Amino acid sequence: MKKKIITVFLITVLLVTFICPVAVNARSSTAYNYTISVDGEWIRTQDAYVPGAVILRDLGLNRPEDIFIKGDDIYIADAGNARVLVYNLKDKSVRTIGDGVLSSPSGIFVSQDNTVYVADIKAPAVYIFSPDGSLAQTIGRPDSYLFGATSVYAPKNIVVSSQGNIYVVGDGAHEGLMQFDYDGTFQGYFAANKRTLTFLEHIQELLYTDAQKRKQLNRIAQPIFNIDITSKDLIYSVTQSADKYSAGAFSGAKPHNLVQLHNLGGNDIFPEELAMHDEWNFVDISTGIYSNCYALTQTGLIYEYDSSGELVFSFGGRAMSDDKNGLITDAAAIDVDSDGYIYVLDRERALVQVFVPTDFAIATQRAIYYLDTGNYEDSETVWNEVLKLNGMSRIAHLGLGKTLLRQQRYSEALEEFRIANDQKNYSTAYWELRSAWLDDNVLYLFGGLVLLIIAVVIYKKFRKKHPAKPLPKGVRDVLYIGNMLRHPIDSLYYLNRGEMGSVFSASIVYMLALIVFCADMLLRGFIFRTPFAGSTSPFYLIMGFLAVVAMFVMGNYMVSSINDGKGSFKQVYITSAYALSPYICLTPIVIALTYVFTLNEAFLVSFPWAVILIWTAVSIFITASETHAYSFKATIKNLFLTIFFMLVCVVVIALVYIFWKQIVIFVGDIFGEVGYRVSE
Amino acid sequence: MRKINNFLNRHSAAFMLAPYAILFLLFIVIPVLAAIFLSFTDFNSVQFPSWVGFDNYSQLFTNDSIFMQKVLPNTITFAVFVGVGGYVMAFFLAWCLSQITKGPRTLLAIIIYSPSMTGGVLIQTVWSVIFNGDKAGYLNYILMKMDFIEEPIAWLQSEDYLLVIMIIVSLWSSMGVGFLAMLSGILNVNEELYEAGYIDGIKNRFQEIIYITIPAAKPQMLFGAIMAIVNTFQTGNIGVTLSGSNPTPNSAGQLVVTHIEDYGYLRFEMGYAAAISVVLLVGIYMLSKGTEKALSSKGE
Repeated sequence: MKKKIITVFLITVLLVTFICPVAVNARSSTAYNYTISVDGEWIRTQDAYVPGAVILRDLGLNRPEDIFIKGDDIYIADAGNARVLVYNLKDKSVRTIGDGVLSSPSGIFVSQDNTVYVADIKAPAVYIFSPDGSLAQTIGRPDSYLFGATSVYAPKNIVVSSQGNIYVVGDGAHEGLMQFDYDGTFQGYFAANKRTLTFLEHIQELLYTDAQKRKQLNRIAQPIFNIDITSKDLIYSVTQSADKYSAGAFSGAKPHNLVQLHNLGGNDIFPEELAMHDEWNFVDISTGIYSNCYALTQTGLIYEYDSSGELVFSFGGRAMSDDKNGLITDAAAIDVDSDGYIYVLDRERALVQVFVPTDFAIATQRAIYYLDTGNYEDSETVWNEVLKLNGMSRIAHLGLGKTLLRQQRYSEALEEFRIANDQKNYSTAYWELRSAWLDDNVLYLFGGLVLLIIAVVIYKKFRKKHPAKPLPKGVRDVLYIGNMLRHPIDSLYYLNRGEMGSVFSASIVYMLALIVFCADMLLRGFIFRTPFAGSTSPFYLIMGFLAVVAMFVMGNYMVSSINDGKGSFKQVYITSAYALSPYICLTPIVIALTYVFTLNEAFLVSFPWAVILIWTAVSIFITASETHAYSFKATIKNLFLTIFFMLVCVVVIALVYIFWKQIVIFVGDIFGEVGYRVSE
Repeated sequence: MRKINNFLNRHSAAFMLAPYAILFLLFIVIPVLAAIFLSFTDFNSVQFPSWVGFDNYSQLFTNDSIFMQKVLPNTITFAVFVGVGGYVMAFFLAWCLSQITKGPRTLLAIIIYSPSMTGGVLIQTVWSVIFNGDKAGYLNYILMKMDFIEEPIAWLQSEDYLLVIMIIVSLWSSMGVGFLAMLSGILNVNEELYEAGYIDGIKNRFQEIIYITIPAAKPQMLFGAIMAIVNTFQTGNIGVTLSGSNPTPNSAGQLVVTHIEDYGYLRFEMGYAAAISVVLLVGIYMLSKGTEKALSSKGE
């Protein structure tokens, strides 16, 4: 192993010195390495994989399709030359397999006992060669009725499980992977992709005639594009997406991730809710030496995922015009050797680019591996090392949090999950902490509750004997929002008659609403925080809120004044403020609840929140109706026109802003020009 | 003789009350007190209960993850939809029925009321056929026919759908005594009130309901509300009836009542089950009180 590292290093040095003498900084990556930051954005990270040697350049490869590494031997499916080429890294010997037999080998797999399995897309057949290179078996088109009379048999790629089961990727085989047993009998299809109908297609399905339905050609699932098998006989697959931007609301939900890990039943075992960072043009995938995998896009980008499908690193890229090492022109296949070196086959340039993992990448992989295998102490140590190298790495914080969670060190785990911005795991840790706290304090809580009830009863008795002095009118006016909750119609009556409320009190109520709004946006408990809470400044919230309120009051008054509305501007201003009272009074309770509950009890937060929103909407409706003495229909009309007015306002303001900006730039330019001329 | 007569006369109230009081004491008060006592003990129904203090309660709120993660959210969801939803629906149906003539009204009222009488039997026959898990089930058949699903869904064993189905079935059978009470309440509103209301400027049916029907039928509505709450917490067994197992698949349809049954009659942890039922009792009591307050302050 040492020897090989030295070999590769020597080759690298040689290549660097002779081929591209300009690149002095040989150990720095040509393309940046990226990872996902704690904010969920792509960020640059220090080099995890650096381009190493470029090998097999001078072997006369012609349109190579696949690469497989077994010990020191590199097997290349040399499609253009219709052969398999075996290159020994140690003694640099070259031998070929299948000369005269193969027509266009496109996939290759070598089993533990050095049997070579070749998928030939043009023959079309699967050829099995003994370790000595002689043809042992040919698997042609299966005649089993399971195969389907019209199905295309075009073996493109192949893997073999440790039990000898053969899995073959067929070109365009949307039925799934073809599965053969050890003697080549067709066993059926395995792990087909699903295709769900979009909403539009459901409607078509209901309305179209049979003849029209038959014209719908694109209703088949995407075929699996390439596969690899792990040491535990799990199968990684990559699928290409039909269109580049398939993950949209209108094209229907993505039925599956583009990188999948299939169990023996063929089901994807990556977590269901995983929001995977995948690419539309994956061409190959390879299992790493730990529980990770590398997916390669046709443009030479390599994405590394951990065992739960989280993105670890992204590196590589396309060589546009120059021949930089580490960039690929037309990526065909990827494989990993037993040291974790990554070999990427470039079809167009007919060479293999090696990527070497740095200490940083190796540490990350080891930490993930320890975490997966339950060695939490070691995992924690290694994660801490990784974090020393890159403190912003989301995967590291998440991984450290998970190890701490498994070690039942919940408060530390909580902190890591907070940094990693992972609400789900945070919730789990918080649940444990809360559970322990409750266990210790349940009696105090109970006692406190009893004391509170007693205190309230005593206070009520006391108040009965000594009635409180009436509060000053201003305070009473503001507190009238409580009345608005219980008796909205009556309260509006008094507000409109001017017996309660004033412009001053309404302004205070607006201020309260503003405070509640900002608190709701920014101060919710971490588990229930909106995704943009961390990045929004209060200034924008305040401006937005004030703008919306101002536009609503103006719009509502203006719309009503041309539609027989009774309310004056003052009345609209006052009653609109009080219409927000359910929001003002009840939202603080929900905000408090977000600190108590976890995602397990999320319903106890989302339900009151929905009640508040509906109640506020109803309250605004009643307010408009009562203030202007409108009927049901007229109120709806009024509110829709108001919203329309607000939209128009936004458009106008945007236009004015753009014009104003242009004017400022124009004037600035003139002054700049004049100043320039004068100084000249 | 006279002495006895005198004695009876002097204490007539007590004697008249006695049959009810004895029955109430025997079947309500003593069991409730016994449950409260048992909730502080560890009792397996064979050995004598041993005193454990508040252990059962702290266990319930801190260590029973099924209770906190499934049972409580399920119960609240169920109660909101079946209790509040059913109540609103009952009122709306009662109001609609009150608008039509007597013959059809009686017929429709009987039709709407009957599911709540027949209960369990019909659930087994009607709903189990509709939600049958193989492709012969009505719902599966229709959905597959319309290409919405590719393979039959085992509705009643499914974690995702069981609670929804429970809610639908319960709503269907929730038009019980409360509904009848509300119907009679609405029918008993004095017609003159409506006429007076129209003279005073009521413009539409909505205002008629808000200002006249609801205030006038308030006692019946309060009764209906209490019945809705009690009904909601008592029909919890529906999940077990539908899925045919307790606990329900992955606790998806587990409500407080089934949780009590699970611990009480399947695991024989009577003390713990008693603690859960005390919590349920307190919950129902507080909800009823709250409802009473909300409804009785509305018209004032």
